[in-house]
Amino acid sequence: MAAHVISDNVYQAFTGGAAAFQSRMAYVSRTEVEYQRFRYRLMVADWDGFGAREVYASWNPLLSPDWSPDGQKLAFVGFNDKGSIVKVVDLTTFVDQTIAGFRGVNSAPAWSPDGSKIAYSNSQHGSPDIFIYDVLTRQHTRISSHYGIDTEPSWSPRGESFLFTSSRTGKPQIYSYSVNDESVSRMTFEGDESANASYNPDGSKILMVHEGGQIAVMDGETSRLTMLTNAKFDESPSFSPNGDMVLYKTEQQYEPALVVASADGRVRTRLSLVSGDVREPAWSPLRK
Amino acid sequence: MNRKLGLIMTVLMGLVLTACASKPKPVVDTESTKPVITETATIDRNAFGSGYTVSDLASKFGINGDPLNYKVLYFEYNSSAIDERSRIIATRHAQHLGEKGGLRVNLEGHADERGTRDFNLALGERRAQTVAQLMNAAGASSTIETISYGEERPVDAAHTEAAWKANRRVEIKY
Repeated sequence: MAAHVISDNVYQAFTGGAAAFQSRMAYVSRTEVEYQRFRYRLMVADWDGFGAREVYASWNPLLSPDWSPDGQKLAFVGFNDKGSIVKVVDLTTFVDQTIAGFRGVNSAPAWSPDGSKIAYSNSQHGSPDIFIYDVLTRQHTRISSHYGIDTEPSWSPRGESFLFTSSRTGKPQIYSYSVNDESVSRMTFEGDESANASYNPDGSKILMVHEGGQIAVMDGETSRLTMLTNAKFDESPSFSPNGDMVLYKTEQQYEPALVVASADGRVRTRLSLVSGDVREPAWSPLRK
Repeated sequence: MNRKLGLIMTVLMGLVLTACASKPKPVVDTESTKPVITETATIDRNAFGSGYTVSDLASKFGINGDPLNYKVLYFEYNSSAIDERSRIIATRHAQHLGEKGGLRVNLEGHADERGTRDFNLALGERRAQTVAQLMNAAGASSTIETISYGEERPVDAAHTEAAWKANRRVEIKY
């Protein structure tokens, strides 16, 4: 599919919404400083990649950034010498703290819509389970306890449930956990694998990575899957704040690229302001 | 008359030869009745505790000599199941750790690039833990730590089956 350049005016006329342009995005940039020695930098820029600046850096991998609802903080995954940990960095002070450094894998943080909790995945009990961290009380509560891999929690817009990825039937599929009655229901049934799911702002659609490397959108009512991309290595999709666009990472001529597409997949453009070994893009909430 | 006789002779000879061909006579070799000593009498069928001969280790699993020299185990896509080659190598390391005692070993789990990064962190850990369990069960009396790097530290960044195969691994690090 040929890439189209979206101009502000064209886009506004197309979607009727200017809101997306007052938002930002986060991503990870990796630079090889010496042979096999990499510097990882967590970057924040305008939604189109303009004005990128570093908010955190490490000699170990960084991944999975997630915005707080007020846009003031980023949760992300870093590493210490024991393994992966969940951290939060304040985007005004640049002060960072570790919120989950338990035994095993700590990963996939997801801020609740009211900002009071961070869901994440940890495997201290043998296999990765979903945990919830209360930001105020600093308490951790284990939510799931299946022997499969449970990871990638992602809250519904009103916070009454969250989606997550589970391999409980063998390969990763999307499930939903209801906070009130603690019930779990399976959401995806098509294909071999679905993962990294997230809701659009009105909760009517679920964005996900299908078959390991294709971006897809599932209609909440019909459960019909629409492929947004026809690739093999696309990853890290996120909706714009108004749900009209999707940001994701792809490869173009073997080079990493960040792409913004309309949510129906008809129009897309590469963010040419972002270059290098970039990955893990995440669209911010609206600027408040 | 001679021709007829010749014909009969030929036929008879043919019959005899055929008979000879179908029923070989036992050959008694009176010279070599000594017992034959072959090389294979002393072959170790449990080289390095593997349950295989040295040549089987090499030809079946690509393990040349002591499995202790091999420190990378490989896995199938989306799987943490240990194949026979991995079992042999991990068991040998466990035996070594059991003998030495007090050694620290770190098992690093990895995944190929397909699938999401967070899920691959979990998959890498599952691989490392499966190896750790095997080694503990096989007598390793040591501290075995596991760590997962998911897809973040590939040995080969290409988008090929060969690269993915090389990346789906657990590394044994002393």
